[in-house]
Amino acid sequence: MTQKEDSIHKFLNGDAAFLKQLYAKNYYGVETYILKNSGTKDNAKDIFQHGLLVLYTLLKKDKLQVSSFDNYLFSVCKNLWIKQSSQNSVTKLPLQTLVDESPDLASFHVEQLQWSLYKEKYELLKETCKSIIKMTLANISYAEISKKLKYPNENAARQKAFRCKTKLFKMIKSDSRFKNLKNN
Amino acid sequence: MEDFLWELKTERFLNGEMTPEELLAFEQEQVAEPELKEYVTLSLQLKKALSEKDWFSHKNTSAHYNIVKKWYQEEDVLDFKEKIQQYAAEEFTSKKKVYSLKKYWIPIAAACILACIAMIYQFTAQPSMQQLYSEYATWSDTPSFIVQDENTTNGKEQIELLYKNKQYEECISAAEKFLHTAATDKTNVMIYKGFSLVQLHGYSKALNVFETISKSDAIDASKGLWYMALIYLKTEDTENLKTTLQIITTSDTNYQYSKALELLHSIE
Repeated sequence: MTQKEDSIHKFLNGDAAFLKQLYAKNYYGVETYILKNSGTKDNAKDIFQHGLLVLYTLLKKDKLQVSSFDNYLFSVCKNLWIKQSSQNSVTKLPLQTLVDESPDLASFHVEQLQWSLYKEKYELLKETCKSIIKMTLANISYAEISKKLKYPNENAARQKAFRCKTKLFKMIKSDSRFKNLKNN
Repeated sequence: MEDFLWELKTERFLNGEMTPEELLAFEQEQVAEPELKEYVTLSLQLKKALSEKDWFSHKNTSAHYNIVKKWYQEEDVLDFKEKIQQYAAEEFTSKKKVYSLKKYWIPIAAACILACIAMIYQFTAQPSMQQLYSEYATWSDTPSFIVQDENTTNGKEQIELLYKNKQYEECISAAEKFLHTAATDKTNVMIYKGFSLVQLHGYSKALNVFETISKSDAIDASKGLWYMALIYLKTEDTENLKTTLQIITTSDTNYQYSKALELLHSIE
């Protein structure tokens, strides 16, 4: 059993010593991120708890394969905070209430899987494609993109972006997870 | 011509730059052309997935959603939730207890002494810089020049192979030759040059290479900062290490942002 498999095994079994180590190793990174992004320590505690629960369900029920346990936990917590802070308070996830939070958690769970699928396929692209896609999504003008990436003009850069995105979408659509995750 | 137009319109649509008339016409065009509609939908999803500030905001109607909703009501998940709630209650509240100074002055004094001992212990028991370096340094995590559907560039492939075969001096020479003439992919080739210098213990030369990357206008310029931090960690230059990590943690889009946060926390 590799170290990663051992971590996942202990986590899914709720091993007390492992959980203690998990909090010590990962909580403060999440807290620092949330404090830097307009959150509070209480927000950080709630997000970390929800992050652990979502990760547990992803690993146990969805049999999700992760390349790094700690990095994926951080990404789940980060995405939960992005979701919570980008939406209004109605959809916030209260930790200790009688309200059934399963619809909100399930919604985030599916979105996290979508996020993983998009990120995973994006990482398979060549660096030039990754750069142009990242720049277009960051609202950098095509005039600037063509200058930075040395394309003869804006239209050439647009055509390259189109080809890169089409290639990425083809990879995403051909993955067996896509059909299950897309909205009907 | 079609690809150029689709991207142009999608870009204006996603940026909210269309006039009401353009928007109406674009929506009609999407109804008539399902492929265009799919391109726009996937572009929007991609934007959300790669954004550091935004998230999927649609109502979930996927086939998987209803299955997942039931999972969150199953006994094992609820048991795990209860376990981590109990654990968090102990973990977080134990740090909040406050005692009356008058009543507890003796225990407080004792605790202060113990705290001092604990601090000394913690200071000496903290992982050393070299232990942290072994944990974080990933000089085998190299960029790949393997391409999927376009012609390969022999020069870059050769650099990658030389590094993987541990022929570091040859790798540096090949990288320098490439950098002298090439116009693209300079950052990745410079990374190979810097990595090779690190393997040959040429830390100050490697620092210069990574600093050049960090100051470039390349999209992945922040990689240079992370590799500089690793060298400062290796050479136990705490001051520069902290400064570099603090720069990385100013933006969560920077390369290895979460690891930089962890490392900063470990050395502080």
